[in-house]
Amino acid sequence: MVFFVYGAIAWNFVISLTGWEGLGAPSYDSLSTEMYTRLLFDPSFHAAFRNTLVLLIAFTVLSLAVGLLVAILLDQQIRFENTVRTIYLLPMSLSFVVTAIFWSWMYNPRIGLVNEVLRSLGLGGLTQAWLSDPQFKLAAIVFALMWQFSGYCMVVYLAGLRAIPNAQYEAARIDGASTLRLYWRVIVPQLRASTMSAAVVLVVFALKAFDFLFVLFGVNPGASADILSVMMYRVAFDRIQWAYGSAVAMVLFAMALGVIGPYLFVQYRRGEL
Amino acid sequence: MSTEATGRPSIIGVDVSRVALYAALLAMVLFYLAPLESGLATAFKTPDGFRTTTPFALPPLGEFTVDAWGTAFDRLGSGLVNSALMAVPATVLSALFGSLAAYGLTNLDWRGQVGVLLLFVAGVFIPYQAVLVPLTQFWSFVDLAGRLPISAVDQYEGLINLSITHVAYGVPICTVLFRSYYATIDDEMLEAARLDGASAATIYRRIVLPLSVPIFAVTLIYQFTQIWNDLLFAIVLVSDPSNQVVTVALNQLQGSFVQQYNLQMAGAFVAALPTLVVYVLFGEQFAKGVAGET
Repeated sequence: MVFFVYGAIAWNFVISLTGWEGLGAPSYDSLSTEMYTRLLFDPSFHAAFRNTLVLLIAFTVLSLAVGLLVAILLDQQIRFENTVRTIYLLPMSLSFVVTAIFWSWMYNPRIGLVNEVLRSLGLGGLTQAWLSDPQFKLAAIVFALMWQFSGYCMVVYLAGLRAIPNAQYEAARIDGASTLRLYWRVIVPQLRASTMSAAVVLVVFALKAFDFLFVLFGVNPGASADILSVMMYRVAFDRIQWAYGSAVAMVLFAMALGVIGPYLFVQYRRGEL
Repeated sequence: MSTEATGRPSIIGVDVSRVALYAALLAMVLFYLAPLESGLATAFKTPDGFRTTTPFALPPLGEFTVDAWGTAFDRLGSGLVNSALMAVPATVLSALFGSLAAYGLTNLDWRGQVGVLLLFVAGVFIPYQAVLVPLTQFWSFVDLAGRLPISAVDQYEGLINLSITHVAYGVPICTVLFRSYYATIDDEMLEAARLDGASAATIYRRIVLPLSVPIFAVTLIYQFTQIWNDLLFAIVLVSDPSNQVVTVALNQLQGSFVQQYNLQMAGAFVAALPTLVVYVLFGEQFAKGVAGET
């Protein structure tokens, strides 16, 4: 395992220092950071980097918010809780390939469900060509990914809510706090650990969202929706610029490390490892 | 939890806020099911049918057909078989290795344990892109078919490579899942066995493994879905079309029948069928696997 994962990352780093392109084997004779300088001046890298950040943040925040809301609703001793929870989590068991196909149909500009619903609500003016208009592409992706993963946030938050003793709700009631205040001031702050662990997993899913975009757009999502994981695949496996692709992959790895490093550190300090 | 949080009954005896609560929950059910439902309805329509009706409407009489399903099965059939050949062994092996690693990291004491554990946990979160180029290099260097001149290896080389890769990258998450479970095993019991002279291997086989049945269920189900659903490793590591797994086949089907939404939807359901069945039967275990990832 350690060889496959960490050995491969180290190897990937070395490859990113070569100038390896095209067919044939890499030459490890002269190593340089040329590929990284190239990244700095590549406009398509800038676009992909920016989109990746936007996707990360928007997707994580939106999924957490929806997941928290649903978890609070589910935590009111409702009937059929298990059934409802199972339905909410269902999208997560599906492959990105499957969900991307569903959403390409949902977003169909003429006869897709999204625009149909908007028209039937009298909001026909809001219909868009969601997946081809550069202005809405990324937002449409974020929304679809939220659909797929907010159920996951719900599961994490529900476990967090169940761990909060009943007495706290009652105490806040007696103090005359409104429901909204109760949740905002008393309950949500205690869910910090749930938020953090869910956010880490979401960020990693977003970094891996390659499959979803690849099915929708192939290797060229266009500057408005290109993300690093797609760019890496395009550069390395489509244009066979292996070294350059490896450099993009190292950036992606550094981003993942930037998120999980602090998380693991906190977990370690709390003695939860 | 606390009913007080949900408001009090109104005078007419109907709890208004409860009704609103159920309405909101139902709306969310519709939201999560809408793409699946309109996909399913569309899969049973003729091209005219899906162009002229609302996506979620049931197929009108005369526009109902199962043609799309037949074509989808034809196109994806060999992909389904290949995915099963690849995913089942990979799932079982990664769970087994994960269980062993978790036992070593939890119930045995040795130096450097925490460091290795950190590597395992971090391994869960690594973006696969960071290892793709070396992986293709590695497998072309290993050249299984060239080294092992057996016809089965030659025929399924891509699937074997893919399967082994999934095992390697599945072990970290399996280890994490097993570890949180093994941490709850009573240490005194293991200690007693140790004092009776049982070796670490015997303790694992006689005590830990039999206790692991529930967590094996969780891990197997979660891993199976993950491995079945993957596209990235499959497109990079498998080049032989006869070894194509179902996610790749589905992606190609989508690319070659661009406007035929009924066929695309039927294909999506065919490819998702095993995971859907597993999810419907073992949703509880899947949820536990999901929660355990944190």
